[in-house]
Parts: sequence; structure tokens; C-alpha cells
Amino acid sequence: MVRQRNSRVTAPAERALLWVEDHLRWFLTLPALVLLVAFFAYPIGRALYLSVYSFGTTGRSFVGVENYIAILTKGAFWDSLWITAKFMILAVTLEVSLGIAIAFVLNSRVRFRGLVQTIGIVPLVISPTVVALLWQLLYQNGGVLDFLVGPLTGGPVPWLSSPDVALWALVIPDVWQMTPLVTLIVLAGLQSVPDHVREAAVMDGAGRLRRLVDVTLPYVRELIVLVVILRVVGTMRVFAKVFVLTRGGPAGSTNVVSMKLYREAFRYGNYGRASTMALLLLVFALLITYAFAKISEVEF
Amino acid sequence: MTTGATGAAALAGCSGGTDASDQSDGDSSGGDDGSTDSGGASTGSSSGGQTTVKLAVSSGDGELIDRLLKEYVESEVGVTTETTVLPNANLYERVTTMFGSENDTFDIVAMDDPWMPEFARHLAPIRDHVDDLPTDQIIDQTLNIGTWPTPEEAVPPNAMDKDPQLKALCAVGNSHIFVVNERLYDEVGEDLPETWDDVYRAGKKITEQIDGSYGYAMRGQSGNPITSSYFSVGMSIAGDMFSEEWRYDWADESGVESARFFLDDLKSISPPGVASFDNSQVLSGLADGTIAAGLQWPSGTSLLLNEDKAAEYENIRFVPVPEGDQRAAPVQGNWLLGINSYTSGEKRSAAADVLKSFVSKEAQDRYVDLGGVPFRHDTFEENMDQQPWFEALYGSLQNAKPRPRTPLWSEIEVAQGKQLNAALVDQTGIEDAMNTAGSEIESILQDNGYYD
Repeated sequence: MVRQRNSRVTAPAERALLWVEDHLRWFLTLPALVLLVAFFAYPIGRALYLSVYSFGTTGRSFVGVENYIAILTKGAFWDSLWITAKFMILAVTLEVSLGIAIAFVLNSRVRFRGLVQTIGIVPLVISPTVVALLWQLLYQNGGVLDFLVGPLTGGPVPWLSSPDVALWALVIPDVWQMTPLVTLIVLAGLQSVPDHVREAAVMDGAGRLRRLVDVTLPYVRELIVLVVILRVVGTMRVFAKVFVLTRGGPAGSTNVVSMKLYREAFRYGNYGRASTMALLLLVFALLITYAFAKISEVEF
Repeated sequence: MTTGATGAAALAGCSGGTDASDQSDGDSSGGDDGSTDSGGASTGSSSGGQTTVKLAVSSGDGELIDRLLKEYVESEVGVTTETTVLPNANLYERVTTMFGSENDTFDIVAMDDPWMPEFARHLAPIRDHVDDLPTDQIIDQTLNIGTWPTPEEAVPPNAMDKDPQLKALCAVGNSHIFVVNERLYDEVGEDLPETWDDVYRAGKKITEQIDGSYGYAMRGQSGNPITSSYFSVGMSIAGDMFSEEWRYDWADESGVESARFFLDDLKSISPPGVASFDNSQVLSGLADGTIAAGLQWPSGTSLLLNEDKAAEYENIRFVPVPEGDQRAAPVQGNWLLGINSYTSGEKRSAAADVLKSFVSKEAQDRYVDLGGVPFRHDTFEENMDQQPWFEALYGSLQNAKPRPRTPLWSEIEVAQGKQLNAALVDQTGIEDAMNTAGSEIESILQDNGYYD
């Protein structure tokens, strides 16, 4: 409601109230802006600031873009990025495929669906470190996993000690933990498909596949893209599982970017290089996200 | 969400742009997880006319140090102490920040000995403020490790022109000890090992003859774990890792032979999957009898001697770390207490008195009663029965070798560990691994002006 402005208003309090009313939208937005600055703009700005310094044994010195040049021209960073990309592709593909499949199953008339849904969320609420410790026990030589897969593999599997297997040994717990997230989101989308639309398709004689492609998928397409983007970003910054299970080994086969970043920052104390890597990772994540959104023709 | 990694690096570099660092991948010689910050950083003050000395210590042993201060040192010296107990990573960060901004948040700081090369220049010489330190009773190795530059060790270029000065006193006399399952050794007719050859010979018999048991296990994970495991073997067979000119000395014939012993012989008597082992796997294997021998810090003994947690608790024995061709070389891992050089003169004197009282015989006897790890000859000799591992620790400590005294040790051990791990999983040959490690390590040193 717009107050009547009295040309003869002089009371400061009233002027103040009018000013507040005129700028109310900014006041209401302020808390969110503060949070945005504190947890988004400031860390990125700070990282940018640190990235132009080199931290050595005698202190720090300004180096401009040297950190960026050094990291981008050294093979080690690209090796780590490639390992991270492999992890991302494997984990996201499995999580999204399994998650969608489970969502479809849960969306049909399944007995004890509520119970299954509840139990299915449990991995999601466990901390990644605890998940890693749990799977470390399962990966023990001669342990539960070896018992289960032994008939297929003919013997124990060197889950964490073979460079050929170790990356899979990281993918599996990530899939175990994060597939429920995909399932939850996709299931929510499936349940939002109006019954009358589905029934109309049935009455029009559309087959199962046709109904899936032309009726169901359009409703969940944006959610699937969203969940893929969330998982792409999530897998690119995997750390706890790597740290607990492999420390980047064996033979560097699981040396993801976040592991390198951790070492630079918290082992070597070189915040310049660590910040540079973090910003580069952010750029790559944004590029992939943008590209994927563009390809899927989804707008958020 | 994408700013998570960025934010972590950025926020950790806060506080005036100084560094913060988690120093250990789990091989901290004293710091365990647990304690929260029990005090804030306040400026010094007197309490009831007494001087207040503020300390920052690491959780685990830090609580014991605090108890000793409260129960004995305060009344002996006539000061009040305020102790802030921090997890290892946070302690490093706080100390780095404090020294970086040259303030007196804490008067006395605890530090892991690998931190000394980085922080020594910020510590006040202890002998400037106190006389009559009982140095004849303090084990030499624990005095040397608190001296900068460290006697008998290669000195970084920026410290070569400095005379050795005592900058910190030992607070926790940690060193690697060797844990052996006597039952398994008896079953194969072997005595407790004194040399690495004994370990291999006995271990081979155990692995071949006793189902479900293996002769040895190392921490094989890439980086700090495997380097820490290898250090005792490498130093005892191949000698020092670096020459006085900081040239890598482990890629020669004896270095490769030592690596071969570790990566072939000891691996052959280790459980499958040892390349992924960290200390928890070694400890649990020792506790349940699947592993007959392995290196441990004293902190591991509490689990091994717990009858509820260790099936083999009755059969666990502790001996000094075995000898190689050159010598025995247990890894030394002392926690040290040093005086902040930015503290006022009066507070420095009070801090020095606190340290002198802390290392006194009376205080150390009490410290052992509280469960502390000693570092005085007389404390060990008069309290040998206090813990079953004291005798082994006493023997190890007197032969202990510190990790190379350079602020670049973290990078060096990761580079070394990566190659050792690669050779352990047969991704590279042993000689290639040591040569590559040498090249990478010398490159790190070169980039930091060690060869200029």
C-alpha cells in the first residue's frame, strides 16, 4: 500500500518510514545477499587473491599468473584431472542409470514401498568419511565382498591395492551412497505426472514405450538434467573416500584433483597453488554444467 | 556447491593470508583426534598477582601435559597456566598464524618435531632464560631434535650460518617401537627379532607354516604411510637419506638393496592388499594375530594391551626397532615445547621456568603415573615396570633418527611414498622407483634453492 505523501510531512520518523518502505525489497533480500557474499563471493574472491601468491618456506611472494601457468603446463594436474573425469563418468553413469531404474520400480505398485524408500535413504545421510570406513572393512582381503564375488573371480580381489581396480573401489561406495539421491529426485518427478494425462495416453492406445517417451519423460527431463549436474559437480570434488581408502594410490591411480589440492594446501602449506587448482576445478565444473544444460536444452 | 573446494582453500588461507596446514596424514607421533579448543587466544595477564603462561598443545598427550602443569608445575614455579588443547591440524594452523603475524597469543607452543625446521626461527633460545637444565639426564636424541640447527643432521641452506641453539624441550618421548607376537614366533622356533634379517627369516616361516598368519605388515598406502614405514628400514640398511649437501642418497646400490628388501622380501611375508594398509589395518592385524610383527608408535599399545579389544593381548611383546647393516634407526617422533620469541621478556622467563619444571625428575615421575611418555634416563630406569613397552621405547629412543630436518619434508615424503607404493604394486621396478623418487625430490630441493 502506498502511503499518501503529504507535501507538508516534516517528521523525521515518518520520512524514515517512507524510506524504508521504498527500499523494503532490499532489506528483505539482505540476509540472503549476506549469505551469498559470505559463502560464495568471499571464498572465491579470497581464492583469487591467494592464487596470485606463492607460499614458500620463507613466506609468500606475489607471482601473478605463474601459478596458473605452472599448473596448466605440468602434466601432473592434467593426469589428476583425467582420473577425476574417469571417476565422474563411471560414478555418474551408474548412479543416474540405477537411480532412474529404481525410481521407476518404486513408482509402480510395490509392496512396502514406504519402507523401502526409508531404508534406501540411509546411505545418503551417512557422512562420506563413515561410508569410506565402512567400505574399507568390506574391502578387506578375505572379507565380505571377497566372499560374495569369490565364486565369480576365482579368489580375493585386490580392491584397494591394484591400480586396475582401485578406481572402481572408489566408484562403488559412491554409487551406493548417492544413488538414493537420484532415486528420490526422479521419483518426485515421476509422482508429479498427472494421472489424467497418463490415463489419456492409455485410452489413446499408446504403448508402454510411447507413454514413457512422450508422457513421462517430459515431466522428469529437467529433474534428470538437474540430478546429473548435481552429481557431476559432486563427483568432481570427491575427497573423503579417496583420502580414507587409497590416499591417491596405488601408484597414483586414484590421485584425483581434490587430493592434490589437499596436499598443496594442508601438507605443503602452499595456498597459492591450492587456490589456483580449486579455481580451475570450479571453472571446469561450470563449463561442464553449462555445456550439459545447453545440450539438454534445459533452462533453470 | 562448486565453491566447496575453493572455499576450503580460501578460508584456510585466512587470518592475514598466513598459512594453515594439516601436517599429518595420520602419522602424527603424538596428535590424535578428539579434543576441542578449550580456550581462546587472549593476551597475557596475571591472575591473582601470578604470571599467567598460555600454552597451545595437541590433543592426546596435551591433556596429560595440562594435568601435570596443574597438579605440579604451577605450584612449583608459582605461575598460572592456561592450556589450549587442539587437534593436530588446528594446532599447526594456529601456530602458523601466530608466528606469521608475530604475536604472543601463546607463550609456549607444542610442535611435532618435523615442524621445527619451519618454526625454529620464531622460538626463543631456552638457555637465554634458564640455567641448570638437567641435560645429563635427558636422552641426547630428544635434546638434539629440539636444537636448531639439529646436530649431526643435514642443515638447510638458510640455517647453515646459525649456531645450534636449544629452542625446544621434549614433551613426549615418542619413537617407533617393534611389536611382536611371541606365540607365533615360538610356534616356528624363533626368538624375538633383533635385526631385520631376523624379522624376515621368522616372518617367512610364520607365513608358510601358520595358516591365516603373516610374518610382517607395513603401512603400504601411498605417501606418508609407506614412507614412514620404510624410513626405519632405509636408514638402517642404506644409511642417511640425504648427504650434507642434500643430495638424495637412496638411489645407490645400498639404497636399491634396502628398497628391494622392503618391497620384495617384507612384502612376501605381508598380507595381501598391504599396499592399501594404513595403521588401523596393521594394528588390527597385530591385535588379532594375523600379523606377527610390525612397527608402532607408543599410542598403539593401548589397544594391543586391551584384553577386550586384542585377542592376542597376552602374546604381544615390545622390542626395540630391529637393526640393519648400518644400525638400528627407529623413527623419532617427539612432541616438543618451545617458547614464543614474540612473548614479552618477563613472560619468556616464566615460560622457561615452566619448561624447566616440566622436564624435572619429580615432574616426569608424576607424568609417567599419569600415562605420559618419558624422555629422561632416570625416569625410564626407575619406572621401567610402569608399561610393558618402556624398555623397548628406551632402547629405540637412544637410537632414534629424526626425519630429515627440512621444511620441505612433507613434499619429500609424498614424492618418496608415491614411488615406493608404485613399486609395491609392481607398477614400476624398484631401481626405477628409487631413481625417480630421487629425481623428483632433488627437483623439489632445487626449486627451493638447496643447490644454489
